[in-house]
Amino acid sequence: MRVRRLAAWTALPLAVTLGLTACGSGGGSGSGESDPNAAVRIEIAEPQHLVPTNTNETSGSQVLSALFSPLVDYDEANKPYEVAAESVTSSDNKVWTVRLKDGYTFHNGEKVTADSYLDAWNYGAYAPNGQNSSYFFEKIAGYDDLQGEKPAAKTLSGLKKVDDLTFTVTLAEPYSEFRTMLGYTAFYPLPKAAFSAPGVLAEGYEQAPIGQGPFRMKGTWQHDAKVEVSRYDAFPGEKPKVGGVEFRIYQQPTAAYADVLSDNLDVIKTIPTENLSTAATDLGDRFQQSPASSLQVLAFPTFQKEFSNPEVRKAISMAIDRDEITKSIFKDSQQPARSFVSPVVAGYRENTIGAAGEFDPARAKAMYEAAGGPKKIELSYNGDGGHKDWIDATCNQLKANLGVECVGNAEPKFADLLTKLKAKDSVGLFRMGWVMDYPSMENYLGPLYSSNGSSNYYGYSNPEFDRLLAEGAAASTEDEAIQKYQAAEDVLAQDLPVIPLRYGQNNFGHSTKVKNVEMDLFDRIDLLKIEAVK
Amino acid sequence: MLRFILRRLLQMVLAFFGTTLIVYALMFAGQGDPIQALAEERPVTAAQRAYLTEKYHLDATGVGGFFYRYFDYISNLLRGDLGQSLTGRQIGDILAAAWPVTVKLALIAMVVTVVFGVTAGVIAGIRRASVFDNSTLVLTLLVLGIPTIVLAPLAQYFLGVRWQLFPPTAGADPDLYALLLPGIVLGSLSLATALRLTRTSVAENLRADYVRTARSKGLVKRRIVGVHVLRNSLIPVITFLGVELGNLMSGAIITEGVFNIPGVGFNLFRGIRTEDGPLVVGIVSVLVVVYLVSNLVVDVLYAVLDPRIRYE
Repeated sequence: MRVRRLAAWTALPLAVTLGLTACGSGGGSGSGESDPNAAVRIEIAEPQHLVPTNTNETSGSQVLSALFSPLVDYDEANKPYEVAAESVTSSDNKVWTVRLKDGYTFHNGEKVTADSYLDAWNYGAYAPNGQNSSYFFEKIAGYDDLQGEKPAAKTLSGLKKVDDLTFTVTLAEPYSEFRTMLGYTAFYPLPKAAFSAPGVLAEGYEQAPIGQGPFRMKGTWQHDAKVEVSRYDAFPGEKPKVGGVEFRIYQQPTAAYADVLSDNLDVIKTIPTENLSTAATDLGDRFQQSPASSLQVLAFPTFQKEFSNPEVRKAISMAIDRDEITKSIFKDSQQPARSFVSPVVAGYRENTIGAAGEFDPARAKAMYEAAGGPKKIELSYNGDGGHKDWIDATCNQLKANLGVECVGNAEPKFADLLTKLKAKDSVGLFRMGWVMDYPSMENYLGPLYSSNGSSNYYGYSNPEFDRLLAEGAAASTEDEAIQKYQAAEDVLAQDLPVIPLRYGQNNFGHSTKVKNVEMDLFDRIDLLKIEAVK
Repeated sequence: MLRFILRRLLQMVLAFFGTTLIVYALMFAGQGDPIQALAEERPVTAAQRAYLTEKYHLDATGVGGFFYRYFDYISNLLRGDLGQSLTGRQIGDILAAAWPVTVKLALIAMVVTVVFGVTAGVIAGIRRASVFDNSTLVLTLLVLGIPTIVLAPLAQYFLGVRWQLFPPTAGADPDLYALLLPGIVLGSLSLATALRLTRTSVAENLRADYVRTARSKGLVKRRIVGVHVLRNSLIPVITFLGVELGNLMSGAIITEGVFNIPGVGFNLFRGIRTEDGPLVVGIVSVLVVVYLVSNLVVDVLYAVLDPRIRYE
């Protein structure tokens, strides 16, 4: 764990070498012999769904990560490598050939074939099925024909079966990082048994999902109580080191924390903020931290005249003391951010916003006045997410350092804030958060800042940025794509449509009964690594 | 008596529909964007939005939309279908899973209240101004002053984590022992109230004429207190306990959260947070029935305790 954290934070080329030697090292208390047949108990919240294409929150995807094995996973340098796939190749980034490893079977004995993937993806993309993750398939040719109330087609024209273990995916536009996307939950296969008729999910499948992963369901999903899985011995891939997992459902993390303290629960994925200050004493080296993919920013309505000047935006950024806020308000449970992408993705560079990220009140004030920034600043946020403290602190800093009036404006829920933003109501600056869908720079840049990005609420539009993103998508190799994305990030740094403030961090802990507890890029406990102590 | 019960039952039907209408209207009026609330801060795709809007008639807005959705809900309700929550689960199933554990918890709290509260209240009432009376007075003041939101985590930390006397959380299918601590915490507030109510009532009745008569008849003290005083003193306590039963079931939001018991309060909290109208209305409707029934039982008990009370 310690090694991986270093790798992710510094993103040195060295990380690859370190990563290779990291296999044996584990986090936390490494003492005690491990018991390969014991079950471990992991805290989750009630999943919303347990169908791969419908699951887009961490609790559901944690359970699915036990039941399914992904096509690709990510190494220490956050680059993809094949798991259930033998190879994922393309000569032009447009037509991708996926070859599957032989020997994978579903938990009901059914063989995993190309059809298992095609059926699942077609089901996920078909709009009337209302799947939460359907947008993951939008890059595949024919996606538009599956949208609307009465879609023209039922299957994606871009998916073609070649033989039992091979299929091709034709994308609408070349996309160099398609292989990286395939590690996400939405791309798992489904067995024939999951469907009652072609394209119709069998009733009750969700209550006991059948996958092809290292664990199989033990009983059914007991809502609000637990989901139990046991090791699937016919799994051909890397074998888990525990006999089973009980995902225990908690509504409040404080309850889970009390259970971990008394060894009634093995892993808590998010230690509640109120317990963070004592966690290190309570748990000792069983309290762990690792970088998470989330990024918190303060965004500008760039469509409004007073914030249209990048100099104004930079001055505001320079007047905020990120380090102080992360330390005093977040108790180091998050990390200060000075880039637009998270350290967990390949291509991350530290401090891309340069001078705008330095806390320099004197220069900030001079710049702000020279650029004619507004006399009154409003910071909008959702009142239900625990944001008041840092918004108020930021406001106080802006008041003191820029000599402006500043007020925090709480909207009841995030949805209310979005409604106002969509209507382009004047809300002043507003907070935004982003959690990646797949570990790629593109995922941090495209949806948020491209002119027609799905979550671009700032009205930001820069043709140069859009061009670089398109070039990145069409690049012939992943490394070349990263270069283009980095150039695009530099454009953002010049324009500063949002102020990067903080990276998220996983603050997790475990009981004395487990070891080698690690968190993956999607904020899930790595179920192949965790071990039970005898 | 029978006519009284029958009339009350008929009134209950009206009260039931009245409350569902009010709760439904409140949830409807307070509803922002339940689809986004469900997705928290994740983006919602147009396809997903269209699917949920269609499925739950979320596009029916305004007064017309309200009555359309309300009557749709009621007609399903009459067919025994409570509808689906926004995550697609049957609300009937959610309630069926949530009620047993909440009822168990409330009963434990009730037993604790009656056994400790009423007993201590009687003793304190008999020995007025004694050390026992004064110390219970201070203790109950203390308990009444500490809100559950403080008491529950404190009890969990000290009795569950620190000294490990009880399991710190109960979970979905708890045994009696695991429910004991949450039950005591939940019952402690009503325990304090019941104790003080009983004490005052007993102390007052001990000075009543009929007690003097009984004493002068030469009845033993145990019989005077056990039959004459207690029976008359319990009327206000029973009234309180009847209302409290409903409170214990609906008011366990904090206790159920702290001890991770997926009961009614737990689901109510989730329903409100995710703006899940049908779920909240379903839970509240059942709670209304609980209140109505427990009040009816209280009224019937009056007649049992005090023969002077007659229902026509």
